[in-house]
Amino acid sequence: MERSLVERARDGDRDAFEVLVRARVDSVYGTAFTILGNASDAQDATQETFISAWRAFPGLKDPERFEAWLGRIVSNACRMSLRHRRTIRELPMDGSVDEPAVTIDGSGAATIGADLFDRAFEKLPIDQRALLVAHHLDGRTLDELASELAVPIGTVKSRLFTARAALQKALEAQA
Amino acid sequence: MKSPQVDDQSLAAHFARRAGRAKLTAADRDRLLANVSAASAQSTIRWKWGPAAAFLPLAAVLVVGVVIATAILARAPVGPNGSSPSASSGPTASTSALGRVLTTVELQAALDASAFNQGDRTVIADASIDRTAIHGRLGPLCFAESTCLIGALSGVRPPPDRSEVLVQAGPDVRSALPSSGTAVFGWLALAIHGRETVELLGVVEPNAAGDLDWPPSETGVSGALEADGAHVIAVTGWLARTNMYIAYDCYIRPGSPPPTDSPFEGCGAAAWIASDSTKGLLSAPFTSIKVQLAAYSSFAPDPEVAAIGSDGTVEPRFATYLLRVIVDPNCGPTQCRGWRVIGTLTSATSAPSPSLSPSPTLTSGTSAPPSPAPSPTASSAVLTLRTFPVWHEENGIPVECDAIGVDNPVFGHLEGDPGRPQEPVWLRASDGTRFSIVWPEGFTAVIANGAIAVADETGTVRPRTIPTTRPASWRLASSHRRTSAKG
Repeated sequence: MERSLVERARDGDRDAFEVLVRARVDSVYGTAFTILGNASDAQDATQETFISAWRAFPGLKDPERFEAWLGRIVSNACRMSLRHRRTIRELPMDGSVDEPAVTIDGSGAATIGADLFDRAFEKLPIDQRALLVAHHLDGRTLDELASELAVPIGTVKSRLFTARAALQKALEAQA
Repeated sequence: MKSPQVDDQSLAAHFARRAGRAKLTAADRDRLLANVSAASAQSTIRWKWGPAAAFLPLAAVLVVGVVIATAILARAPVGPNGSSPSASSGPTASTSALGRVLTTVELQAALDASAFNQGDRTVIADASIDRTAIHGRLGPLCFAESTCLIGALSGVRPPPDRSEVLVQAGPDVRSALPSSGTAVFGWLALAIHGRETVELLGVVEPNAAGDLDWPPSETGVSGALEADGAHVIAVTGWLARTNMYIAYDCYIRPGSPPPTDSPFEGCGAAAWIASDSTKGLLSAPFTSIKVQLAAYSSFAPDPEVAAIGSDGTVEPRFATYLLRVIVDPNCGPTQCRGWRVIGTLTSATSAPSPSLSPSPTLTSGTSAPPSPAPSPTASSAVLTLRTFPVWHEENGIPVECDAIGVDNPVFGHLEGDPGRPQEPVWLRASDGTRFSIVWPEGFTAVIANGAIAVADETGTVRPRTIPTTRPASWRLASSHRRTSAKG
């Protein structure tokens, strides 16, 4: 059923495309919001994702890889959204500013506060954010990411390590 | 104490927390789906040339409803307590770009209006020209000043006694067009000389972000310098020129003369487009886009004529100008490329005061006339925010005030005062320092119920002040914005 919809959309069937969009708009928005941390940018990125997908559909060779293909478009759309909006960045207070940046548990281990994490995470380039979100939120495996990015698994591991290290560094700087 | 460490568990938890905040309202969801649906109905990538005849117009009819609806909603006042307009308000970046380019329906309206209006109109429209339409046509294909027919506008209604709306073009455009019979479509810059006479000024080249406006700086437009004569770019900024009577540095250059009506002429006198309205300069600012000297008198809205004997300073004029590359083949071993202004999209929008930049208004067949200036004391009003840096004079030399925040974020509370129309919103840093802000182009301050909201170029409300005794509930990080202290 899903494959059929993807194939029909790829062939220019707008009704099929609309079914696919309606089924994924919330999840794509969730991913975009997690990456960008801003509702307005996330909405732009979500819209751009589906418009780009429609335009790029004829180039989708394997309908089975639709999800991974769409994930890559989400990353690109987030990058474009940030580039378009780079002149402004908002940090909603939401009562979170008064929380401690780091809390210490009984063993002396530090737990990262939400505000600190968000500030550090949003220091990362979009590609690194998207990779971390794809792996740790969307649950995409190294194999899937390697296929999606058209790179060897080792490269994915390396990129994940680099992104984690960059986040760690940003956390320490922000803390 | 151990430094905070990220592990798989904490990463997943933080991402889940962030994702949990992603609540798409039903109205936003519907608007988003409508925009995607409208865009997919267009179903075209904006190629410059295509072998097929026009098929954009049908889609444009579908998208116009969305564009008009969002344009109206973008002007809706803020809700109680300075809250955001309804969730369905405010076009997205994509739709706002479309809103600045006429759809075929809007182009039709502009054509219809031209039957009653005197004078030319220059617009950008998402349109198509069928170049097969003039094949076998009887009568002259070329007219005065080397303009020749190149085809007919697709999807628009011709005058009652004609079978089509013919399009003509000058030699610059024609020489760069593909062979006849090939459709031309995309964002077309069109001069409407009358109901029956439309001239293609060029295909509008989008900027790097895919939008319409290029920045008013020499480096900002350098990426388009290789464009051919059939392409134009749109630049919104201040057009000014030196006084011809105090021109200096005149010399006779060797070789053949430069192309006429080009920035290579001038003998020291110059015209330029810049991001600010500094006047009285003796030469073009280094960062500005140099254009032909006659551009000011030909294309600036309401150009000022400098009187002989005066200091000759002209008032810079703010507008959206269309620019085409002009080549000086005699300029050294490699060709020199510069810019020629060929049209103005904005009608009579010089700045209301030297310190405020007006929002550009595209000529549009269906756009409403500009709203009257709001009263600062009105319960609901829209004020223009400053979008250009402050300049002051040091020993007679214009100097831009110090800008910070470009690299180093400035944190603070957003404050505002509706009684200060010159600068209704500013940033108060934690140490009490007050910072003026250079806002992105198109931002406005919306005043309602004693609160001030800042709306971006799409009409979406951004950080806002709250009309209660508690501090403003938004912080503004201007890590990428020019934030300038007072000069």
